[in-house]
Order: sequence, then C-alpha cells, then structure tokens
Amino acid sequence: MSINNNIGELAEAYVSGSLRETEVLELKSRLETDTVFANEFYEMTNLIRSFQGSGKQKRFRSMLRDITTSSKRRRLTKRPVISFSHPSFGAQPLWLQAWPYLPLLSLSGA
Amino acid sequence: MLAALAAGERTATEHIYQQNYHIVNGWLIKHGGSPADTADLFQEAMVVLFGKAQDGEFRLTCSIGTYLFAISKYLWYKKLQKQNREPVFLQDNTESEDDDLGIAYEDDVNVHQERETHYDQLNVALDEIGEPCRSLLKAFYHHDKNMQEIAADFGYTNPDNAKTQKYKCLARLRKIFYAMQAK
Repeated sequence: MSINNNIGELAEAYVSGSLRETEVLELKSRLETDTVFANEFYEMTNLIRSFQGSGKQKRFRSMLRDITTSSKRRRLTKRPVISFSHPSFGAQPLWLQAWPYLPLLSLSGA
Repeated sequence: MLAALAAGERTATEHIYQQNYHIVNGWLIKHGGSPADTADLFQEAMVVLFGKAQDGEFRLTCSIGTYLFAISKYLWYKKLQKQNREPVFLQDNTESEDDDLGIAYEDDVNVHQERETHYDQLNVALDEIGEPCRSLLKAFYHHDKNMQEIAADFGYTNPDNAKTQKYKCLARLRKIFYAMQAK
C-alpha cells in the first residue's frame, strides 16, 4: 500500500498492524514533515480505535444481557430435587421412604 | 481467564458471571438494593473489567471476584449519592478488605465512564452522518460483518466498492466527530 492512498485505508492498515516495515518508515517520515496529514491521520486512527472499542463493548454487553436472561430463566425453572441418598431421607415417614418401591411391590402381588 | 474475558469468550464470561453474581446480589440486597439493581450494577462492573482487560499490560492485584465486588460496591455508593440517599453502610465491616484499593477502583470507574461518554459522542456523530453511512459503519464495526456481507446487504456490486464507500463514510464521520469535539 502506498501512503498516498486514502487516509482511512492507511489508518486502518496501521491500526491492524498490516503495514509492511518499509511502509511504516515511509509513513513515519511523512508524519514528521506534513503536519496537516499527521493531524488527519491521528484523528482517523483514534476514530477507528474508538469504533473498534465501542463495537467490542457493544457485543460484550449484548452477550452479558443474554447470560443474565438465561441464568434468570435457569433460576426460575429450577425444581426441587429429592435425594434418596441424603441423610435426611431416613427421617422421612415410612410411606415416603418406600414410595420408589411401590410399583415393584404391586407387581409382585404384595 | 482474564485474557479469555478480554477476547469476549462466552464460556469464560459466563463462568465469571455465575461465580460472582450471587455474592454481589447477597451484599446488595442486604444494603438496600433489589435484584434489578444487582443486574444493572454487576453488568456494569463486568464491563469495567472487560475494558481494563483490553489493555494487555493490565494485571489484577486481587482476585477477579474481589475486583468485581469492589467495583459493584463503588457503583452502588455512587448511585446512592446521586439519588441523595445516605450511604449508611459505608461503615460496615466488609469495607476493610478493599479499602486500600479504593482509589484504584475509583480511577477504573472514572476511566470507564469517560470511555462511555466518548462512545456516546461517537454514536451522536453516527446519527448525524445519515444513511447509508450510519448503517454501513455500524455493520462493519459494531456487528462485525465483513465487506462481502456488507456488499450483499447494501447492494454494492462487489466488496471493493463497499470498501471504497466505507472509507468515504469514515472521512465524513471524522470531520463531524472532531467538529463536535471542538465545540
């Protein structure tokens, strides 16, 4: 890319680090000698960086909103789990302790 | 974990979120907040951390959880101050753990708020530039679309034409944005 190309393209290539070493040297020398060009170039690189930053942040915020919504949904749909291996299980009434076996008992004719 | 967060990886972000949300929520409920306040504040704290993590040189001097908790607390105090509500709980015993780092958190929040203002100004300039530039630049920078997709969406014959238009739009936006800054 020639540094005489439009400033937007040049600034974008500079910000992304895709300029070749010779192009960077050429750019630096023009920045030192041409103040009008330097001013426009720095404004453009700042604008591009701001745009990239705001885009990243926007996408991050949108992902956070999605995470918030899905975790809220998860909390709302959570059902109580009855654990038969829990120590408190033995403290439950006998009929409640036996209920998982009731279908088996009725099948065997008990 | 911080690098993954900086890259906007969902798994890492979700992990950090799930690990710390309830801690902030518990504290905030005890101090006069609501679950809706936690959702807002914690999201903002996550964005502050995300912004800091963009700087490759940034190193946390505490755990991610401590950082998020302190930022959330600071944001809550600021919110109460804005509403002229007395931050009576500033005296509580949870304060001691991050008292020394308070100033650093304050700086981080201030930098974050300056950045937000800057992004808001960019959006105002974008609104002023009009169509199709506004949508084209948003498609590229905010929605991460490539020039091929943009050419198809906006009816350009090829990606190069779309690219030329994008640079023309950028040049116009630069003038509008910096004219606004100069005011």
